[in-house]
Amino acid sequence: MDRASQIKSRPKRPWPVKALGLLLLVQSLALGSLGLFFLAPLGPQWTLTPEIIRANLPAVFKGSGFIGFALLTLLTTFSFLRMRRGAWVNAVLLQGIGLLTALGFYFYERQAFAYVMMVYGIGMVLYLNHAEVQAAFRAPPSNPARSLSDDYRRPI
Amino acid sequence: MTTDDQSEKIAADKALLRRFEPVIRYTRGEAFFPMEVEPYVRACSLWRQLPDRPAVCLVPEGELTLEKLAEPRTEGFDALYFLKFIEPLDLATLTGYQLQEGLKKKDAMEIFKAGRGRLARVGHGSRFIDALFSLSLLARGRVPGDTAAAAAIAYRKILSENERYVYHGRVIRRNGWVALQYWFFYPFNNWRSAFFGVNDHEADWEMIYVYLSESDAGEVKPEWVAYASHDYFGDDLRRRWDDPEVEKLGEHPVIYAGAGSHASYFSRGEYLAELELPFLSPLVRAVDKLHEIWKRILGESNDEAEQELKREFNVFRVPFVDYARGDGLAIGVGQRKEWAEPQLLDPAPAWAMNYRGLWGLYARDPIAGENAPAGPVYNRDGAVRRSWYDPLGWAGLDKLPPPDEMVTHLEVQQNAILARQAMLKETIATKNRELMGLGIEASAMQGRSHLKKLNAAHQKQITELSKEISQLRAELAADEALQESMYLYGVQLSAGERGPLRAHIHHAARPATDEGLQLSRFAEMWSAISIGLMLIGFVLITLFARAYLIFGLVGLISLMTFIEAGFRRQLSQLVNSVTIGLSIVCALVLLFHFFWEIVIIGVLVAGGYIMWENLKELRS
Repeated sequence: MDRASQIKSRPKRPWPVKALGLLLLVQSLALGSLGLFFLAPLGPQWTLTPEIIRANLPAVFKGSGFIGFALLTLLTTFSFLRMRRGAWVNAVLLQGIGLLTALGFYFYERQAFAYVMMVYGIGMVLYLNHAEVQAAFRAPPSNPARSLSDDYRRPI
Repeated sequence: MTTDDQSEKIAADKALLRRFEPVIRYTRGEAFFPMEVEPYVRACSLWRQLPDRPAVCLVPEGELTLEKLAEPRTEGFDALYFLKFIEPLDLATLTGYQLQEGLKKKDAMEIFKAGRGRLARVGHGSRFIDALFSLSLLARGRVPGDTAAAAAIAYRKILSENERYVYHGRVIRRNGWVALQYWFFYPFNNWRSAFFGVNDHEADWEMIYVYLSESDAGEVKPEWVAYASHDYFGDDLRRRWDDPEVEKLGEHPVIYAGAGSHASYFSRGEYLAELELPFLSPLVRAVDKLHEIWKRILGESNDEAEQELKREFNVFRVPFVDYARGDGLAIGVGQRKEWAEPQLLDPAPAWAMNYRGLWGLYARDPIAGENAPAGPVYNRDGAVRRSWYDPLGWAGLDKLPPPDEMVTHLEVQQNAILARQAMLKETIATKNRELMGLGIEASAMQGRSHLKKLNAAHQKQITELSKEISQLRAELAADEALQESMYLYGVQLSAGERGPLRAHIHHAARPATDEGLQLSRFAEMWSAISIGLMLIGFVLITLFARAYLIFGLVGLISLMTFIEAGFRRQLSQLVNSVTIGLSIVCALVLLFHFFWEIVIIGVLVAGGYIMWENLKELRS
C-alpha cells in the first residue's frame, strides 16, 4: 500500500476524540502550570544548587512530579489525537494517577487545587468510558492471532 | 379402557420411546449410569426424620421393596422421609477399596483428567468466595467423604448381578403435541468428590423431553428437544430438531452428560456453572444492578456475547466446571452399551406417585445441594414438579402449536383479529357520529350566555369522546399492523419456512472456548495458590508490620490483582476499573464537602440549559 492510500485509509477522527484531545491538552497545561507554581519558591534564577534543593525538597519533588506528569499527558494527547490504540488506556491510567494525586493532596495538605483535579478527573473518566469514545479505539482485528500486546491495547 | 387396549397403548408408547431414545455420552471417569429403581430400592433402607429428633429407620436394608416404599405414610406435617443407600465404610473396607483402585489397571474410560482448572478461569473474588464455600462444607451437613467410594462398590455389585442400562419414560399427548419424557435415574451424584464440582448426593434424577408432531394418519415427526440443565428454564432449555447444536444419530438425539452431575448438554465441552450462595444473593443482585446502571449511563454495547461474559464473572458467585466431554462410555443405539427395555411411568407406578420423600440421604444441608432429590414426580418439598404436570410449559412450548397446525391456528387468530377490527370500526363510526353531533350542538351554542353551563358540559364530553376515539383508532392501527405481519408470517409458513432457529433462546449454556482454555500451566498454578498466598501474606504483615497493616494489605491485594490481571490479559480492564473506583471516592469526597454548592451549580446549569434551548427555538 502506498503512502497516499495509507493516509486515505486512516480512520476518521470522531469529534468526541477531538474534544477529549483538547481536554487532555488543557489538563497538561494546567499540570505544567501547577509544577511551575511549586517550583516558584526556588527563585527566578533557577540556580539549583544542592543547598537550595535540600532546603526546598518537598517543593522540588512536587514541582518536578507535576511537570513530568504534564509531559506524559502531553505525549498521551498526541497519541490520543492520532488514535493510537494504546492511547485510550494511557489516558485512563493518567486520570487514575491524577485522581490518586488529588486524593493525596486532599488527605495530607487540604490543597484547594485538589478539588479541581478531582472534578476534572471524574469528568474525564466518564467521558473516556463513553461508548462512542471506546468504540473509536476498538479497531477491528486485523490479525486473528492474539498476543499480550494486542490485549493490552484493547480499551476494554 | 380394556386390558387389551391398555397393553396395546403400553406397547405403542414403548415403541415410540425406543424410536427416539437418546444416546448419552459420558465423560471419562464417570462411575454411575442410568439404572432401574428396583435394585436400588432393594439396597436401601427407609428413614423418617422429625425436627430436632434423631432419624428413625422405618424399613431396614434388604427388606425394602417398591411396594413397601409406596405405602401411604401419615406421621405428621413435619415428617421427612428419605432413603439411605450407603452405610459409611469401615476403615478396613475403605483402605482395601482404595488399594484395589490404586493397583487396578484402569480402562481409559475410567480415568478423568481435570485439565485447566476452574479457578484459573475466574478472578480473585470468586476464588475467595470458593474458599469460603469449601470451608462452609465443614459446618454444613454433607454427604460423608467415603460415601462415593461405598456407592461405587454398591453400584458395581448391582451391575455385576445384572448389567442393564435403563431409562424410565412416558408419553404425553397435549395441545396437538406428543411429548416423550425420558427420565434417567442414577444411584449417586459424585460431582464434588470426583470432579471438583458443587455437591455429592445419593440418587440423581435427570430428564429430557422430545416433542413430536403427529399427522392425522398417525405419523410422528420430531420437532423439538429440551434437556434439563443447571440454572436454565423455559425457552432456554429447548432446541429445534433441525438446530445444528442438536447432535443426532438417526432419530436419536445425543446428550452430553456432565461428569458426576449428570446434567444434560447439547454439545460436548466444559461448562462454567455458577453457584449463588443464598446469603450472598443481595450482593450478587447489587453487582448485577451496578453493571446495568453503568451500561445505561455510558451507553455500552448491548452485544449479547459481551454481556454474557460480564455476567459470568460476578465475583459473588462460586464458579464450578461441569465437564461434559463425551469422551467416556456412551449408551444408546449402536454404542458400546445399549439401552435395556424402558420402564414406563405411564400409568404412573405407585412408587412414583405415593412416595414423596427423598431418594437418598438427607444430609441436613441448609443449601440443599447435598440432600438427595425427590422422585420424578415431586420436588424436595413434596410439591409436584412442573416438568411432570406441565410438559409443554416447562420448556416454553405451551405457546406454540405443532407446525402442521400452525397455519390453521394462524387463520383462526387472523379471523379473530378481523372480527375485532370490524367491531372497532363500527364502534369508531358510532362514536364519531356522536362526536360530530356534540360538535354541531356546541357550535350552535356559541355566544349564547344562557347556554354557558350546557356548553361547558358539552366541551367536557367532546374532550373525553375525542380522546376515546383517538385511543380506538390507535388500537385499530396496531391491529392492522399485526394483521399485516400475520399475513406475511402465513406466507412464510405456507412456503415451508419456520423462521429463525434460535430466536426463542435468551441465555444458552455455552462450553468454554479453546481460547478461554489456553491458560499457561503457570497461570493455573497461580490460581490454585493465590488465595493461600494472600492469607499467608496477611499473617506475615500482622505479625511483623502491624503498624502498616492497612497499607500492607492494600499493597498486597494490589500486587496480587496486578499479577492476576497480567495472566488473564486484562491489564487495561484493571486500570479502568481502578480509575473508576478512584473517581467514585473523589465524587464522595466532593459531595461531602460541597453538597449545597453542587446542588446550586446543578440548578444553575439546568436553568442555563433550559434558557439555551428556549433561545435556540426563538432563533429558529
